[in-house]
Amino acid sequence: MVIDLDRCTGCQACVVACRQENNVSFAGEKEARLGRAKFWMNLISEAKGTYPDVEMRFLPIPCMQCDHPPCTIVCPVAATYKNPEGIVAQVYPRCIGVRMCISNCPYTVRYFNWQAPSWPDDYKRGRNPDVYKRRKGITEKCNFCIQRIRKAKENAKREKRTIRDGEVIPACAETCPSEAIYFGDLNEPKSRVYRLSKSRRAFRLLEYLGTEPKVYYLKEGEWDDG
Amino acid sequence: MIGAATLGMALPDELLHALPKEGEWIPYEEYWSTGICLQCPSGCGLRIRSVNRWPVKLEGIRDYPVNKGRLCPKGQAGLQALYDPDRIRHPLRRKAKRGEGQWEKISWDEAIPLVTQRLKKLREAGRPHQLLVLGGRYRGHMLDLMNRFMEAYGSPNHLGNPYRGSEGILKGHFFTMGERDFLSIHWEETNYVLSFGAGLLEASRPSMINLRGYGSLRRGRPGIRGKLVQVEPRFSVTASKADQWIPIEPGTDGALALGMAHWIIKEKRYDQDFISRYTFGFEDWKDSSGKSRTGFKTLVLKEYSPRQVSQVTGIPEETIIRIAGEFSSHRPSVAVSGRGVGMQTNGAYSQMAIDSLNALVGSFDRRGGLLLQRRPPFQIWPPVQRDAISERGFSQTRIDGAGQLPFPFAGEVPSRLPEEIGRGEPYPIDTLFLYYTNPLFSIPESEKFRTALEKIPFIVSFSPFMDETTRLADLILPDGTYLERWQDDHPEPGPGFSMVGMRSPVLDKPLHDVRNTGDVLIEIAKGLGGSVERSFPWKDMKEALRETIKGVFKSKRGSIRTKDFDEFWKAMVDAGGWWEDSYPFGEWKKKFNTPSGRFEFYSQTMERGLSEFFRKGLKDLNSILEELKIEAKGDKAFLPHFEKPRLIGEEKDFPFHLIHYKLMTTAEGRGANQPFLQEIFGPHLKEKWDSWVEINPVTARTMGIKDGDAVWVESKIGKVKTKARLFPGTHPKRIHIPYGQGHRAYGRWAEGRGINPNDLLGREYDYLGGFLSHFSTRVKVYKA
Repeated sequence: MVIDLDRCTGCQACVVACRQENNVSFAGEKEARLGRAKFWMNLISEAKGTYPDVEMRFLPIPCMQCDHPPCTIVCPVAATYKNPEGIVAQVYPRCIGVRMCISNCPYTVRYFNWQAPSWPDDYKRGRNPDVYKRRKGITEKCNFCIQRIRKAKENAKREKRTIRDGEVIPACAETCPSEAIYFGDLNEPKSRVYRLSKSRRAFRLLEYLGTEPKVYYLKEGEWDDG
Repeated sequence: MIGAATLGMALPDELLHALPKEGEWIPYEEYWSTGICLQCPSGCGLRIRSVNRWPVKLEGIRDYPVNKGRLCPKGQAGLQALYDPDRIRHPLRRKAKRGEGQWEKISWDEAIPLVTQRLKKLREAGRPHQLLVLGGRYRGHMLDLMNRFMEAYGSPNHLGNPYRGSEGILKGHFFTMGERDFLSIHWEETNYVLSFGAGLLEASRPSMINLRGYGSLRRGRPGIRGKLVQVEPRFSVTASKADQWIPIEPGTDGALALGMAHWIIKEKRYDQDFISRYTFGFEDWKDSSGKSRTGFKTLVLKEYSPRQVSQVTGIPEETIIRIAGEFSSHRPSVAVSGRGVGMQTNGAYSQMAIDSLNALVGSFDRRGGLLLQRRPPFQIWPPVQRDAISERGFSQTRIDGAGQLPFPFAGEVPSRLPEEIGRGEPYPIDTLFLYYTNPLFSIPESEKFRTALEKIPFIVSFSPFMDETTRLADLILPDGTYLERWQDDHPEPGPGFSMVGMRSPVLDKPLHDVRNTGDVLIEIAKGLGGSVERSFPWKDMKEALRETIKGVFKSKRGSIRTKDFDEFWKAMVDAGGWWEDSYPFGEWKKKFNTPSGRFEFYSQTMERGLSEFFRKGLKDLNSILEELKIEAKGDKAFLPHFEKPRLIGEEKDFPFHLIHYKLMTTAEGRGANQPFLQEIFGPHLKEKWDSWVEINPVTARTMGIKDGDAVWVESKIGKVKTKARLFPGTHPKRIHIPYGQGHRAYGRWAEGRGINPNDLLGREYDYLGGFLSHFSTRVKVYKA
């Protein structure tokens, strides 16, 4: 995934789209105040300075799907692992809720189910049937809308072809109003994300930790992509 | 509505709600249909994914001109409006006293005659003008339908302006160009966007076009990165994403525009060809009596040098010169405005000044400039039938005094209603209809409004939600949500070229026992009989819409062309709408709808409007200007100029200037009943489910206020208790409160949460523009 911060407006469409697609329920005022609201795609912000020299930044952060994920190695029951496609997946029935993975994630993008989902009955009709049920007491996280990837793979298999660049779009990327989020195969040199990841504007979060994130950001500024 | 009919035989309920356990697969039936969003006035095209009959996800229609496949967070949260557990599920009749919330369920067959009988009696008594309609978010032909109903029934008292809160901008466009719509930016090709307080990335019109446009301004053209300059007192999200933020003294945007104009004229950087061929009143001119009159150039060169303007705006002289230089040399460039302009006592003049800047660089109706919205080729409905009763009723003076002094150009003045209704002058109101509006939340000094409503014997609300005003109704005839009804939608402004969207019901019948207000209105008209019935020759709203769309079909233009109308209709419903393929640039002669047929620096529209009043022998010009609280005299009053903004409250008692603002999550306070939006409410301060007052950190420290402390905010009008948040983007002498919270009703997620800045605001006006200026109240803040 590549997120172009020069296009991002901090609008949070990605945040809501993700919750609607993945049946991530809202926490409510009380739980949210305890920091228990779950945002598989989260928008973090920082404002600093003294009027009128002020600065404010917004950063959308999904799971970085690290190539060397610090979260998987600490799981005592192998509930989380890097799958063959490179996605850091969570096996819900196996998770016992020890939360080691949460404390070991430097990007704080893993979320614990402190409560069962708080949907009123009326909202339950609007849940996505492609997404697995998740109970209270387990950890959940962004999986790049794995249900969409699977569906695209099935379609491609049926039509006896490989997945086309841009065919799989996670909910966040699909809705992004200013087209700031791109998704594709980072191993495919012809893909758009591969090209963008090589841009001179590209950087990754906390790169020095050696986690090898598969989410690239493009910093704001003039054209210098070469 | 693809396949919806075949899904009548629903699956058992427990299956509908089932989610698979890991590794499990539960088969389901899926289909996609289209609709148009109504979470804000943008009007985005929706692709709706339904599973086993129920909508589960909203996406954008990929080629829909407004949103091109994308949706904002409000759009994404739309299913929470549909499935809101606190929706009104069937018609309700009040049981106990008003406002006590005791209702009884009644059937539609009982409910509609209650309205029809009452209206019939009122009409027979010759008092049809005592029907008052307050409408809000009308879309498409719903406004025309209500206007038609009022005309046929015989009442002038329809307050249905869907642009409430932005009238200053519209009035500016009207005075300079005769234009009645907002303008949108041709983002794809513009190089320089100068925004006077427009919340382009938060709450603007059309929101999605601006968000999308921002992306393409930055990286849509290889090698070219367009510039955004934000002029605004508060450091907003838009300011943070801009290349430059220019903090300004509130209410002085017009002065800044004129200071820039001064430099552009002096340095001869303006578009001389456009000015000489398509504008009026730039140079001094002689009127028909041979009298010499002042032109824009003379006024600006005399009174608005960057040095003079710098003192008013608080912006350094060199900054004014620099942005004037950039604006005039990086064409195509545009100057746009927002609440910062439209919510001040001088809003109309400020907008005229900003429009003049655009005229100087010739950016109207040009590539990379500002687009003037074209209208679709609708087939016009047959003329309204009027009888003697409706003629008499319709010609009564409006109860809100719109169109009379001191509001000569106002289409409506809702904030004056409390006094007028309360006094029962010029006549009492008998029946009130509420359609998609909630004045007890959205109008300052709502307590007075509430008292006035007590005087109205019969109140009918069409709201799908139990909002503050609906709670005072006697009868509720609930509409459905925007996903459940037939309704067209022509976004103004949209992409510039003409287009029309079409909502169709996503379910085979609405989720609850609710009805499209369009259908209900047609049924009421039929019940009234006579000329009113004859004015509505359609079975329902869908049939009325089909008739208008026939004009689009016959035009043989745009995205859908078929031989047969039924085929056209089906294709249009499937596609979510119809649109033209390109924008006709450079039609100035056709689009400038002024007495001179040109862009008017000197507004003859305004001059003619006001001279109506002194021609009637009522008053001379100077006393009219005085009544409108305009300081300028003579020609200057018809030219863009700076009027000092008026404030409620003295600085010594109320040291802070209150300016409220909107966030992406809450454009109009209507999203407060959706938990997904509540939980991401204020990202810049990581705030959720609440509101707060933003105070400058240094000021707060001197007052002993810490981040998160409870404080009182008090104005001459009222006081509210809330949480202080220290935000460095706040000027030491101002405070900011986000708009959208503070509901006293509106369902479990919204009620009793946060504060409503309207509880603090006094009512001050831009009389010329005819609107309430929301940014005119001073307050004090102290620890609770």
